[in-house]
Amino acid sequence: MTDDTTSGINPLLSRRNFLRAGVLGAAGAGVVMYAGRQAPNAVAAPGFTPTKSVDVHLAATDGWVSMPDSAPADPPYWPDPYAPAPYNMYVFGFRNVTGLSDAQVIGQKGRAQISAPVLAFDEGSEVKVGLTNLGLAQRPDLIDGHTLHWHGFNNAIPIFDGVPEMSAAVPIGKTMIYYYRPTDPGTYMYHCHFEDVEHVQMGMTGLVYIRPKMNNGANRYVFNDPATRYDREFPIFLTENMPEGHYRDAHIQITDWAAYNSGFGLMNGRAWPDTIVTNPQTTDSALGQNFDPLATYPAGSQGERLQFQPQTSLIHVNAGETVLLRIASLGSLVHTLTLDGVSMKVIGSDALQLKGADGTDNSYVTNSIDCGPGESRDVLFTAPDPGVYKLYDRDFYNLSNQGSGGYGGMMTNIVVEPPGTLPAQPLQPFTPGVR
Amino acid sequence: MNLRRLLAGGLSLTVLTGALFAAAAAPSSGATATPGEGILCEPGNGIYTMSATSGFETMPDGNSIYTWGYKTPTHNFQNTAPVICANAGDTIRITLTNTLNEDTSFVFPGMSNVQADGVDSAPQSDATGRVTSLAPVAPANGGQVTYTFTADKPGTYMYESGTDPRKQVEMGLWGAIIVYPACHVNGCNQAYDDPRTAFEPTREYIHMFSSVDPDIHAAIQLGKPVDWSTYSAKYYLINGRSAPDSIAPNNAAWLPFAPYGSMVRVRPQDPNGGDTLPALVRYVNAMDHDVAFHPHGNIERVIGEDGQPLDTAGSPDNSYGSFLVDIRSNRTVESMFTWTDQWHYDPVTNPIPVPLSPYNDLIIKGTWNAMSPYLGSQGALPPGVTQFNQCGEYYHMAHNHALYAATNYGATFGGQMTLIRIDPLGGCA
Repeated sequence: MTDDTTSGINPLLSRRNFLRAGVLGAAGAGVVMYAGRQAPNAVAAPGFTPTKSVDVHLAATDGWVSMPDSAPADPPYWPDPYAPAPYNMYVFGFRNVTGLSDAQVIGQKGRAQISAPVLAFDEGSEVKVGLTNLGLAQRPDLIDGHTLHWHGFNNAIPIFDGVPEMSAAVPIGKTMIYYYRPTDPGTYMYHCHFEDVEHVQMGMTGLVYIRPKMNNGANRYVFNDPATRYDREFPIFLTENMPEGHYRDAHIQITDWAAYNSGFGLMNGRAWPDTIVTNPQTTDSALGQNFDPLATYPAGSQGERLQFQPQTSLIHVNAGETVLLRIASLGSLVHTLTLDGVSMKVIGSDALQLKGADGTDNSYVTNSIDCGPGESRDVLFTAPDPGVYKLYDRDFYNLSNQGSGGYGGMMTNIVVEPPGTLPAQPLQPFTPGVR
Repeated sequence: MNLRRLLAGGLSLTVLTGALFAAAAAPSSGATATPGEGILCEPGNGIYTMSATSGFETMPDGNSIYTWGYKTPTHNFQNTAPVICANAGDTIRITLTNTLNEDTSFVFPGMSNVQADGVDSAPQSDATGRVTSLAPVAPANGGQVTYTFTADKPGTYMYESGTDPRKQVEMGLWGAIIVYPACHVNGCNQAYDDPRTAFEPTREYIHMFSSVDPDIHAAIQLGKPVDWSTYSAKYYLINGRSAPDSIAPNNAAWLPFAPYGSMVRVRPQDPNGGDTLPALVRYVNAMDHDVAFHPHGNIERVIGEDGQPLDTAGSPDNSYGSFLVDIRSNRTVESMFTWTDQWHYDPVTNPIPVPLSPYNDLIIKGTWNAMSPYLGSQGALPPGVTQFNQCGEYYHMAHNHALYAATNYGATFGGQMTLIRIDPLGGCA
């Protein structure tokens, strides 16, 4: 990596430290093929003083996660016989390593998580994201790069758009700094675009959203419009998972990605009934975004089993509150989410308020949220009377695990408490090194 | 229509698809040179002849696929039918000759009062009442039928085989009809009558989506039974081409079966030059499932669907923005987008405040990459990487985000994927 003193990302891995730790030893020749040459074109950034800067450090690597054990086996693909207990599926993924030491970052190799850490930034901020490629613990032969593609970012600069064929990718042992200046509030996604069909399926996907300038300590909004005020927000990130591809990647085999076949429908990286398991570090999905990647869990606990799928989908609200669901999908199928008995108002789509250029209100009320590949929906509902309500995909194929009977996949609970039971949701769900 | 052709002819002077493709410019199909990008309207001024026939298309991985399409006055064989352009109110006459060994026909969803050989075009039945075709046919082995209709409403439409369409549309027997509003005759460049649908005249594009299951095509070629329940597409096409062929220019000599490219090209909108109006993309989906089309780095505004404008003159603005354009099966969508060089980053006066890693700290796969974050500026590429970037223009990918459909037989960087090219304000010299 280059000198990052102007970026403020601290600490990032230096190449020297990487070499010292021996990570590059397994990287193969491909990533060092230009070593020894002086690159003439590094862009200097003299004299820039950001007024507000957000720095995030992500690591890309592989790892193991757990789909519900109650699902029928699909030999040999799932459960994967290579998986160390208590896990059963091989994944690639991102890990939030912001603020960790070099040694700690390297220690996250082989500890990928799905979904990727939820990122949230403020409109008008300057965002610098360091992406470090830690390599793959299970596949030292595979020297894939990784990238960060901020899906939906308008007027993107190609070098920061993360398409390797249009820009560049990060080789094993290196760090690249991505720079963004988000101006459009709303719900977006991010994912790796290196060999996209594989890396996206393998789990390198997550949610990122931009909070509007109009937000203040007392009130928060989806867009810069008072009509979009809400009390609590929850990410619902949808993917489908094809066990065969995960197995073949772990076992050094080739997958025909055109033969797409979903085994588990996932919300925030988990399939029902895991979707409602809370992480010991958190109580509900919105509060649980800033996980400690170094946390340890008691052996045999749910916390241990789901530590690489840290994002619960449990939605916990007070009756009468205005609740925001930030729904996005990076699967390959179209989903139809229903919240039983509760009408929902779609106010945003693909990070844009449903509002005409002349101010026409194009929001709509529905009981079925349609969300297809690469789409996002900002959905408000008023929390009904206390009780437990189910949010689920009415494309029932995704409401089971491995096509079994019973319930699985894309379903979660909305637990409504009497008014005033829960304290206000903290405004900043993700605060890595905000300065 | 005449204006359309005139504009297309003028476009050729300024539109090059990049050094690679400029050097391999295809032979012109007529007196006027072919524009490298944008919509190629079938010459004909309302009167078209096409002959359904079989041929082969080559996929980027080298597979050669038996397929059906049309012989036209300008092409020996093209998979997917010609793009027909008209102004609202024009009469269109299409004479279809059939060299296949089964009946074929055309239906024109969205058009009314279609005549076939002078009678109302209507579904056909056999003596037992079983439906045999959705329209009068050109009989197998040399039959002919002429369809006539008035294109009365602006929009983007499909025309497709109405005879065993599950098979014949999969094999390629379909195309697109573009109807411009009546004001087009007087020089307006709008998708619909509403002036809010005005677009940059040289920035109009069409993406026609289809898919290919090579096993099904092979079975049809060999006259074997076809089991549609096992349908599994392996190739996903835009304008009959799979990426990276999709970005080759119109009438690329090495893609004779698919004359239409799909690269989109714009310049920033800026007080100091560039485009003044949005680009227009017309999407047409002939697949049996939806397309989730994601233009990177751009918010598109959907202005019409299935020949219906979302806005009409004086109406509230019901168009909607989207970074992912949904084109449902067998539907059409028009969307517009603009590019803004939002922050005017400049290597000297307004540098991007993070260091760009030197290339030996990166994987440089790309040949379109300028190796510079600044529009209009180029950095050095590593030795051994060919530079296709002309002048520091940006390239963004646009692709189907059901990512299995952005592959060629499962291999990444293929399928329904094309590029959006953003030239610097002054264009490329």
